[in-house]
Amino acid sequence: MRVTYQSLLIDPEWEYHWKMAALQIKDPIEKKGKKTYTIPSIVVLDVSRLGWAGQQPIGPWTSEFQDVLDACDLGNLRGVLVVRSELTSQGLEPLCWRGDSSLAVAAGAVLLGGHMPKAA
Amino acid sequence: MDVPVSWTGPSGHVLHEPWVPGPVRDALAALITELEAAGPPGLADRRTAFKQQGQIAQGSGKAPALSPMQRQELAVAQLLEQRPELLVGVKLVHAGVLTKMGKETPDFECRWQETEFGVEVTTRARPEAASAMHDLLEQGLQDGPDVGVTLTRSGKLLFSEDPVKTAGIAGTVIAAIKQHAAAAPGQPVTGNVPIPELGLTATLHPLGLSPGPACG
Repeated sequence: MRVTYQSLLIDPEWEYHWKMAALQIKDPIEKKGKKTYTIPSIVVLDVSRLGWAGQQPIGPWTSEFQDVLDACDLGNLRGVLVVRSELTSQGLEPLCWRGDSSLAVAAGAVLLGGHMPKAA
Repeated sequence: MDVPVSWTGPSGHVLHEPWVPGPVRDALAALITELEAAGPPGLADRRTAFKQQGQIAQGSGKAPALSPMQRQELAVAQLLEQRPELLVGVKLVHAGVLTKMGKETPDFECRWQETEFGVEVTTRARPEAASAMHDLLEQGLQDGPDVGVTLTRSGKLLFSEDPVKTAGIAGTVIAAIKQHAAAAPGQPVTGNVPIPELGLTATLHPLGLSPGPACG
C-alpha cells in the first residue's frame, strides 16, 4: 500500500456527494423504462459501486436517492427497487423504492423478505 | 469453492486469475451452485453470458488499444455487473417464484400467488473521483519507485470523472512522481504533485511515513 486517501469530505461536501451520486440513477432507470417487457416488470438497480453508496452506513443520505427516483419517468416499468449488496454476502439491502401497484410491492417483498424501505 | 468450468470455460476467464480474492470467488460459486441446483429454464443462456463477459481478452477486438491491465479491469467490471443478477436470481429461487430466466427483458419471469411479474436487474457504478485516483496510483506505483503518496483535497470537490479521463490524469501523475524520484536518486522522495482536474494534491513522502511539514 503506497497511496493513502482518507475521505476528507465535510458535511456540506457529503451532501453534494450524495446529490451527485443519486443523480446517477436517473439514466439507467429511464433507459430500462423505455424497453419493452413481455410481462409487467420492476427493475432492481444495484448501486453498490456508485460513489460511497456501497460503503457508508445507511442514513439520511438515502433520501437523495428517493427524491431522484420519485422524479424518474418509469415508462414501461411498474416499480423500481434501489439496493446495495456486499460482494461476499447474499443479502440485498434496500435504499429506496417506488411502485404504484400491488405487483411492485409483491416483487419487492419477495426480494427483500417482506421489508420495504418506504412506501411510495 | 470453485466456480464450475461450465461457467468460466477452461481458460481466459477472470475467475481463473490467482489474484481474485477467495471470498469473492466463493461467493460467486455459491450463487452459481444454487442456480444450477434450481435449474430454471434459460439458465444455459446466463451461463454462456457469464463465460463470455468474464474473458480477459474480451473487448480487445473492439478496442485494440486496451492494455492487458485495462482488459483485466474490463473483465472484472463485467463480472461485478453480473453478480447482482445472479444474486437476484438466487433470491427469487429462495422465494420459490422464479419460472424462467429470460434472454431478453425482463431478466427473470416469476409467478407469486396468482401474479405474474418480471424482474429486470441493472447496476450503476461510478467511483468517487479521489477514490478512483487512489486505486489507479496504487496500481501504477506497484513496481516502484519507493515512495508513499497521500492524496489530499485542495480544490473544488468533484464527484466523479469519466474513467478514461481519470486514467489519463493518473498516467500523468505517475510520470511526475517517477520524475521526482529520478531527480533525487537514493534520497527520500518528497514534494507535491497537484491534480487540479480533480481538486486534489498528491503529497510525496518516504514509504511508511505520513507527510510532514517539509513536504506539505
